[in-house]
Amino acid sequence: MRAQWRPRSVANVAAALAVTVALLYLFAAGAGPLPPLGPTFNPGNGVWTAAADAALPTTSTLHLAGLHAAVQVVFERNGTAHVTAADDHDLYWTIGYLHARFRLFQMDLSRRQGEGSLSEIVGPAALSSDEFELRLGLLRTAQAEWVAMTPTSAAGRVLSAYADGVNARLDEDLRDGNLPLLFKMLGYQPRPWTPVDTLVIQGDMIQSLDFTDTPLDEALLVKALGYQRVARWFPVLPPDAQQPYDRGPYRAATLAALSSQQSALGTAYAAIADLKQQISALPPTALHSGANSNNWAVGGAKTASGKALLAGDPHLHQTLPAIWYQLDAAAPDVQFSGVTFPGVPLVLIGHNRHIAWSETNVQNQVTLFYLEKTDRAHPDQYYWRGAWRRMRTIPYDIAVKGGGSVHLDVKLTVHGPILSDDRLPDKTIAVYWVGTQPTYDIAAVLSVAHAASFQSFRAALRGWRAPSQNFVYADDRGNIGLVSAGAYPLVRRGDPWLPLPGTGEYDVVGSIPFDQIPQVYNPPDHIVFSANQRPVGNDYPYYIGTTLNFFDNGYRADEIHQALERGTRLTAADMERLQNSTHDYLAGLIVPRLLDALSHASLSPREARARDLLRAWNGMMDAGSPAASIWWTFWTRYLVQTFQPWWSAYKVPDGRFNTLSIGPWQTSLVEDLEQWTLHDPTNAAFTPPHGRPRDAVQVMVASFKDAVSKLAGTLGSDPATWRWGRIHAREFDSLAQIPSLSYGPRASGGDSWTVDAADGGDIATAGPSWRFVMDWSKGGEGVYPGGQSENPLSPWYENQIETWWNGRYYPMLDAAVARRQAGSVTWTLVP
Amino acid sequence: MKPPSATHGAAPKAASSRIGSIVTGAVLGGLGPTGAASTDAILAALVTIGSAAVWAGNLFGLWWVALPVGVLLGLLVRGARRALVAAAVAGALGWALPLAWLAGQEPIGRAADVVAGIMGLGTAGGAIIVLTVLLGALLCAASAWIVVALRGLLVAERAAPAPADGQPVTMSSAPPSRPVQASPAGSGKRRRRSGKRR
Repeated sequence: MRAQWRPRSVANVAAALAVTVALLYLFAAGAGPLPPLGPTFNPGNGVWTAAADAALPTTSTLHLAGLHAAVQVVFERNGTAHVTAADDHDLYWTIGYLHARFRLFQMDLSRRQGEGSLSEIVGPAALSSDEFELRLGLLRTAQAEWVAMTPTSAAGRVLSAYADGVNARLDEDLRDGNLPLLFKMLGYQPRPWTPVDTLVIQGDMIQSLDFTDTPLDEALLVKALGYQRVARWFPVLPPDAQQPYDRGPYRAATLAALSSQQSALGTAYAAIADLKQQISALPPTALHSGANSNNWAVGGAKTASGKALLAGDPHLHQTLPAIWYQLDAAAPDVQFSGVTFPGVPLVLIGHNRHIAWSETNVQNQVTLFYLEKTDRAHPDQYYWRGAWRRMRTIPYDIAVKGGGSVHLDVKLTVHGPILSDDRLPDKTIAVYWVGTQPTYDIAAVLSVAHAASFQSFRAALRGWRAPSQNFVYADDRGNIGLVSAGAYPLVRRGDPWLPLPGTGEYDVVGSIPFDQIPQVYNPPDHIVFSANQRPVGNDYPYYIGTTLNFFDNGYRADEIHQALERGTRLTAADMERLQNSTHDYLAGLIVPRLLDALSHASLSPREARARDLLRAWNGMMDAGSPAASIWWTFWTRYLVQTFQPWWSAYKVPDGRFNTLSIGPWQTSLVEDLEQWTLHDPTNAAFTPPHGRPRDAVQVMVASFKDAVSKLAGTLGSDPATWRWGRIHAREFDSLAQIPSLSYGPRASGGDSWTVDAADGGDIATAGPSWRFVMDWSKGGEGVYPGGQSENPLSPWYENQIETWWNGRYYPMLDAAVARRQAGSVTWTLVP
Repeated sequence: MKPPSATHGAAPKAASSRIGSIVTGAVLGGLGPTGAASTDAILAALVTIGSAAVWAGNLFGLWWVALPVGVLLGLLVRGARRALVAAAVAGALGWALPLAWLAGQEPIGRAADVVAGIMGLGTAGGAIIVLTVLLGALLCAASAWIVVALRGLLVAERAAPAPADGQPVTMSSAPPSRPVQASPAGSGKRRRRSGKRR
């Protein structure tokens, strides 16, 4: 019996030890997707602190080392913060403290995205993103900007004070075990904030608004469809009539005009497709795709009050937490109110005591791809200006959660970083992107915050390089203006919308001089507006981009122009109505033609009912409108019926690359089809290759029947029940891609080119991220779809969504008024 | 329930006159009083103190305090099953009570739902709360198990005949059965439990 007893005892001890060690490992380090269970779930300072952290601020005094003097922070009932400080240092320090208090995880995620260190917290799934970001070089750019800025400059002092404020809150969280929930779930602690981190977040925005891969798309289209056809269907200048805001006259170009010629793509298509594949795998915010944002201003001559009005609604990816944090800040020599990016201490859209401003994306081309000539006999070299040049190599080791680190060598040419893998013997692809060069946006925005006139506002924007933005302006004296600030790279020769040879002849030689970039001030019609349309007329002497890359088709601009031009005695309420308008301008142009075409067609009873709905329709893409569903489905089918035969015959790789597929997102094709339908109904494009001749009427009728059949299959037989909201919704994704922390999908109106835009397909994920109206006769108002806190348990997580959804606004109060408002609370921060 | 220590608890009192004996006795048999009522009271006291220690540790983020508490309960509570249960209860209470206290002031249920959502468990917040309590119990019980298992090993070791000088101990040389006498406290129970295992 003893022979059996002892092994069992030993086994028992071994089992106990094994289980305990395994548990200890799970508790201390986690495993796979499991976070470390001990620190994550312990009731003292694990995830459960999120519940306490969600409690709203109460009126209290906080003792915070690092401040020079007492600071007051008033929180409105909806979470909007008002900071009043005795000096600039304390102002930006407190903004840092507030950002960290309410958005620390968002800030850390943003800097990690840009710095290429996401793998360290989420594992190998983020490795391709990190490698791409390290190649692209936001971190290198930010470091160069910080070196150039110097800590003693005005912008340097702002960033340093801000970082100190962030770190003060971070230290508190670490000391109290009170880090935000997702740090605990992911099992890591953020490192201290630095000014470089703020500059990296600035780089994130430049990337998501300005970095594009459309030259790669265009090259793949050229390969499939041929250069001439691409030049016709994806033209540089818009084929339809548009409303540029700067109508000239323009000064003559001061750099040599471009001579259009086909780029020598040669054998580079494989490398192009490979790079395109690599970029396609990136998160949607890693590159710019599509058009965003509206803004406009109305001079006092057209308003009821005689004071200027300004409106702005930037269309960005709508996330929870939202991209914005709203605040009002005041120190003795500066005051501003509006929205900030968490991680950046300045208001990007808002107003001060004398001027108001808002931005839209210019959409000019600032990303150029260069085909670098390489040779296996010259490793790590490229051929430029008649000689082999050595590439600069920067080594990185990317930490990967659960897997040590991965080494990456980033190679740089004179044009920029090499993005493609070195698989071809004689070619590799480098990118020239404005975001790889230092920009001084912080200094520019700081100057804007201090500006009191259009002259000082415009002067502030001279230093702004990227992302290129249409800055609309209105001041308290009734003046209005618009400046499309930013860099406009110009090449000596070649087709910049395609990858260019990197041998030197096609290099960027400069930018459009600031005085010649698009801009207006107090135009005679008393309105200025931008909605990502081409900002200048077709006789503008410089190349600034194509219809594919990425000027909007202009329907939002047309709608805005029409409303403002017709309007008299305009008020803030008119601005609100226009911002929330779901009228589809293109439908207004095309539906009458479609009804004409259908009047001669043989229709089934269901098709006739659908036609009658369209006939009675007012063009509003409301969630309850069945006609909106019919229109949108028809237009989508019309695009497909016209172009898909060509795509199939010429083997466009639209199955491999979604950006090449046919749909309403193809700005150029939409403009083509509009133009042909209205003015060229027998265009040869309607006849498929090797097919029977067709014209616009035939294709429209077929597309209409196709749409009705499709909707009947999806939504049932009765067209009256085909409400737009049944096939169209909005969703605000969680920033961390956690479905349970997202909002929606919720049935919604709007479409890609209504002023109240809903971008991203049947479930829209981008749209007005902040709606702002400034009425200089009574004050500002604004709202964004989200809330001030990133804590999903907080009453301020998504409390503003309903107000936004219903098209309502919160008044932008000053601190004194906010303090008297019912439900407001005050923090007194003392050193 | 009749406490198993009721007929075996007298001897350790004498054995514990020296610290070394206390430790030896505790390791081999566990401390225990003489009467059933006092055993229950002491057990309850040990569990309460253990829970409080785990709770206090958690307040400072010291989740691992459940480990030494489990070890101590393994040392101090007689009987393997009792020690394991006591440790599991102390660990569970040490993690559950602070949660319950928090729930009186903050939306712990919603927090659990959010955490469940993040973990891809929908709104199974209840599961997260159960998991949390279970974690405390597991951690404490696991460390108690080590002590209990070691005790079993040492008891068996003492029960084995001393080998003659120079003669190796082999499994086949051990006698088939012999009453365990190394520590009076709990020795009878040990034998019984061994018998049960067989």
